[in-house]
Amino acid sequence: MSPLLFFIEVLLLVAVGLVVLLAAGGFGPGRHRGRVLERLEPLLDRERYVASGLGWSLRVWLAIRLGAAGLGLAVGALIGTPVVILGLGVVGLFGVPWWLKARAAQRKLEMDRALIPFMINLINLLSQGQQTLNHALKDLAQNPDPRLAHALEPLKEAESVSDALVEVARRGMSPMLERVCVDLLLSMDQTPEAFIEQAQKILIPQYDQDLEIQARNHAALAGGRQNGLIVIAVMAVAFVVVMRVETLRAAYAGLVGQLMLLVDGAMIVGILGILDLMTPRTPWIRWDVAAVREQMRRRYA
Amino acid sequence: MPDLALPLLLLALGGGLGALLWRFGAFTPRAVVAWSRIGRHHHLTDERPLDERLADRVPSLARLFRQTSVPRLLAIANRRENLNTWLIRVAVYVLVVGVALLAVDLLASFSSHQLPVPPLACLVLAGLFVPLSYLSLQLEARRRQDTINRAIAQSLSEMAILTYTGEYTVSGALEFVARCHRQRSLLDLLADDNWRRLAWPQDTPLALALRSNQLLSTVTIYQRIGRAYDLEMFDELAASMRRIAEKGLVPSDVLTSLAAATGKKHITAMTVRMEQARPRMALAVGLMVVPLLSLILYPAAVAISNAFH
Repeated sequence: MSPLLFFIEVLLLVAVGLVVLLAAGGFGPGRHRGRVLERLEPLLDRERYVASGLGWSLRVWLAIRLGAAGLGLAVGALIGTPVVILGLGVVGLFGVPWWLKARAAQRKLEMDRALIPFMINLINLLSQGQQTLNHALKDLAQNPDPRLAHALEPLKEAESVSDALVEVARRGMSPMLERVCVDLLLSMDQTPEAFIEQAQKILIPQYDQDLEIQARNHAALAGGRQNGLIVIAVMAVAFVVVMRVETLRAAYAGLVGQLMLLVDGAMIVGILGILDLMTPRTPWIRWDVAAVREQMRRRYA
Repeated sequence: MPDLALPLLLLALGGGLGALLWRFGAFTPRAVVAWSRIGRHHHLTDERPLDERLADRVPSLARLFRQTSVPRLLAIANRRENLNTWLIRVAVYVLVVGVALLAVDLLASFSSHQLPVPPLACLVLAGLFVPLSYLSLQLEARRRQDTINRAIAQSLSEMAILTYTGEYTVSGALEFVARCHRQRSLLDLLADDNWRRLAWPQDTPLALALRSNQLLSTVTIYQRIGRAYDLEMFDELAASMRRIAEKGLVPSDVLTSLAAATGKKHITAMTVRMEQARPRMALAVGLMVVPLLSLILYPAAVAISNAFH
């Protein structure tokens, strides 16, 4: 028997002993399961955010992602080499969504921009002194700004404005819209005069500031994406030029050549990853609008 | 050259055993052990850990110990495990990675009849898991600090609305908004007195300044949380609450001003970060030269090597 095998067995036994010690101390894998789900949630949330930004459901968005990957693989299979199949599959799975995300972010920013005029209109309606906050919100939802039309749909025929605001936040999937819904829910039981004062003193200046941060975030992301596009464009041109020259292409026909292409591809993905990491962005706190509604209801219970 | 691996291993094991015996008092004279027992019983000895005692003598070490303390990082990251559990878990990971590497090494040796990599190198490689685990813990703690700071900074307007009618106090409004965030970091800190893990005075006999059961004001609690967990927003809130109490200011006005000031500070910080990121991003784009050169030069290298063959 090899001494190394014996050594491995000893180490394995020590590891098992420590695991038993951990289990006896009440530390089990069950606690990790929740954390894994917790870590997956932001990923899913990001996909939902992009889907709603493009005006699609999550299912349609995921189908488009998979379809783009399938299309990439099919085109790659027609061309032939394994690296091209793999490369086009990756482009389909990650490249197409990356390109579409820019449009989703732009649409979200436009929606957020429409929120300040919405609040100003709300104040104007309340200032006339004939409506409550509930009625004014329903009135505004009848003829909304086109950028907010999809999100405000539940308010049109709402019996309970609180429930409708929860649905508005769910449909809009924008941190700023969530915040507006939370603020409206918190102000629901105040007098119109108090709401007008709060909105003018607290809310609208805050939304202005939020919008500025959103715009800066968007500019930073657009800059990062532009740099990424430069890298991709230059590398794509170089790849086409190399592949069009017979002698150069021959070097990549073998196994080592294909591996070299894979390494180059990995380096490009790495550069794009570094660019993404370096792009400064401000994460937003997400509100559980349904929880706000429940808290408000419990307050009077 | 003689193989030094076995003597070194024996030396390390012997050293470890000696340190363990020393730690458990095997070399301590019986009289000293007896005096320590009596002193402990009458609260006459300093029972604080070595790092705390050292930090008292060298203040610069205090900051270093504080920043790098694993129990503190575990508390900030809201991990339920204690130092011993964390150490055992890291040891398990190191052993598992070590076993996996050694197994691969052993399997590779079946074809070439000799080990491609020395076993010690596999163990050293597996040992790298220790600093990696520590860095990951530090990152987790920093992320939680950022999340909590952000959770407060981005909820100040909502707290201002809640306190506007006087129905909620500042601390009541903070608890209200904490329950309404999707990320539970702030709520986890405030709920069930979790903040006491770090921000509570240790009940040691030498800490005579405060009784352990003393009632504390919310301002003091927030200040302690801010200091113990390095949470800037709790410090800001405590200062604002103190101003409200001392000068009779309106809470919603103070919170609105704080929201505006925090927002401005954030925008300024963001501008600085963007300017700093610009040259770094240009450098990252410049890295594109590496795959570009590799793509172009590889066929040339193949052609040259073929010519020599």
